[in-house]
Amino acid sequence: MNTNDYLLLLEKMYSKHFTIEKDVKVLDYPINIYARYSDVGGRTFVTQNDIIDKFEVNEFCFIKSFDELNLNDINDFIIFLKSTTEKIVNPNRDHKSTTITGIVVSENSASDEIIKTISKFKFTKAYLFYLHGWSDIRLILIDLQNSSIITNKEGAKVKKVYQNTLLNK
Amino acid sequence: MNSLLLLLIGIVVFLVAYVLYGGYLAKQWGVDPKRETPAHTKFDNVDYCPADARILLGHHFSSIAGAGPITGPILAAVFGWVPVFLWILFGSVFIGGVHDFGALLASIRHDGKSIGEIIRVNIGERGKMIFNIFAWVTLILVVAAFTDICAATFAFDASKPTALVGAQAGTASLLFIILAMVFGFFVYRKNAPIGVSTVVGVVLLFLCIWIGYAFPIIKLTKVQWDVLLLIYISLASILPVWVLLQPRDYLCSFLLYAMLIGAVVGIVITHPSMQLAAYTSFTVKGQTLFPFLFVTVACGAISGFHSLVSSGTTSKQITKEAPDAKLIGYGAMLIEGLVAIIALIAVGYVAKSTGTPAQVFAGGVAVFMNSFGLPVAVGKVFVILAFSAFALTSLDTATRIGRYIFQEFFDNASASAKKTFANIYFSTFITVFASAALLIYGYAKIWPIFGSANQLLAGLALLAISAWLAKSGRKYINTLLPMIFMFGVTLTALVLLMKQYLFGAKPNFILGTFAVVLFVLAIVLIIEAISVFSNKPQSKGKEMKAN
Repeated sequence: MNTNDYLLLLEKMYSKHFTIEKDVKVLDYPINIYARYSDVGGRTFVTQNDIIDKFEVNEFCFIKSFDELNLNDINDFIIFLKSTTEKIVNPNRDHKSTTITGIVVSENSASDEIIKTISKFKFTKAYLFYLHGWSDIRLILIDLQNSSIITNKEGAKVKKVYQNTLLNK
Repeated sequence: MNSLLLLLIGIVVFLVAYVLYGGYLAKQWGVDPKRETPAHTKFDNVDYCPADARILLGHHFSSIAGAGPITGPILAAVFGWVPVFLWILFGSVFIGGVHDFGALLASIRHDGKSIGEIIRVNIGERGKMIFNIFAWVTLILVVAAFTDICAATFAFDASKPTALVGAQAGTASLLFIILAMVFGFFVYRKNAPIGVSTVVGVVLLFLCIWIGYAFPIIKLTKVQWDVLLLIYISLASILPVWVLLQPRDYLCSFLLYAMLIGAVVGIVITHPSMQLAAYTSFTVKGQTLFPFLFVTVACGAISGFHSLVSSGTTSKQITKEAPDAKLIGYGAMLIEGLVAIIALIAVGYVAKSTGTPAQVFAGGVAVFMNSFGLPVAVGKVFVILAFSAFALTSLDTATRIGRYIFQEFFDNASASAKKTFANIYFSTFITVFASAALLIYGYAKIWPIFGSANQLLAGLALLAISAWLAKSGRKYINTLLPMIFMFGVTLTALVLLMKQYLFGAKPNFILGTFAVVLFVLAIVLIIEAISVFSNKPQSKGKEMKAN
């Protein structure tokens, strides 16, 4: 499967629940697909507008493809993802959590160094001592050549989703 | 009288009523199993989402169940257990169940809007403001009553150093709150698996009870507990829900089910005799059986807040009108009636026991649970913890709603007034402060006014349901008669309370003023509602699609 085919499959998958933007620049960083999902839960009293408590849970997915993947690309992508936890996430008293999912799509095999960097990557950010929620970053590498997926610990929770997409299930 | 017989009569009556009267209502109201519900027609996978009826029943029941069905029957038992028992049976079957079922069905037929929403949309801006004031005053009474009951239950009396049950339950309750926050942190933040976490959480919950029982180190007076609880509900009202309320409510549900199962099994094994007088007198401590029995039992037979708090959520998730609406709307109220009967049996068994309703209830249920090996002293701590968990849930929900309504008073105010008075901290403070000012009078005096206000809300909901049924050409006698009865009971109760507090031998002008305010607001609101629902055609802007 080539990059374009896989991106199309991802786009189809996201389109069920996410708002999608293609080929956009986010914080001056070019992204192939930017997918956003926001869920607000809580309790109301009398009318739907009378919200006595609520909490929002978000997921922002940034899909980036690379022709010749190298460690610098990964590090730059990580810096970008970290910056989104400050500049894209909007912490407030109703914000519970935001998951930033960074997906690297590559047609070439990843080096051991890249695999190690991704596997060991861990980032979490609390806002106002968790009173304004928190953000986590999932980092996922899609290796189209070997049809394999490498994730960090947080990304392992959704590995199956991307595996199924890769296998076009 | 063997209490097992009472429990069995209650279960049989409720089962028969569920099948026969519930089925009759479903037929009269045109409940249609083939009709698509809002969960399908407005499906968005967020608010509107079909859910399994059994799960929805559990969710709905935990939303409507508070400390009311336990406190009410115990306080009303001064008239004897027979009138209370009969009212629980009659009220749950013919009034409370009809109210909840009707509110749920009306909500389903109005695209998932709650009955409160239907009332508010139809009664206009002035009606909305009156409704808000009415609800806020009622909520202040709720907060004051439950804070006082909890504080009195947990209080340690230094003159009776061996009476430790309050300190034990208070210590366990504080540990439980800490446990809930830690549980929430591990589940939400550390992504601990929910199944394993639940097992560990429940085990630790019982460990809290044991620690509280063995090491009752929190020995505070009632006033100190009052202050601590007011601080707690203020924080619970302000903190994000996932920090405290969500994990606490989740763990609370296990306490609720454990207590219910334990109490029923205990009554079956013990089948104790009722020691309480079957009937005492028509007039007790200056209050007459009519109307005060009917407002004091409160949520054990009917509660207006059921239709306001929960129906808007449940109706959006109902998969099929039949049998789900009857199971959830009617069935959940009958289960609450069963909780009220258990509370009545507990107070009936320990007739000479003194203390708060929580202590009386715990005293009875702990003896029942002793039949299968749970030590009475530990059982008491467990039941008081379960009761206080209910009460705290009612408290923090009431405080949050009160805070929200107070903020809404300033919707049309200037920006500076809004910034000052409608901010979350000030509105929480005012709501809690107003409740604190009532604590001096004690829950026993506050309860009848709260009961009246709560039942008045039920009367208003029944009015809205009757109007909807009438306009859609269905029979509405089953909702009209309960509505007339509830208005009669509650307005009479408020008149008598006004007379007692303003012109009695021991006047109490604060509580008297509350009764006057509630009475006047209720009358204005009823007139508004009747004129809108019965006479005036709805304006196009406010018209809601319903059939």
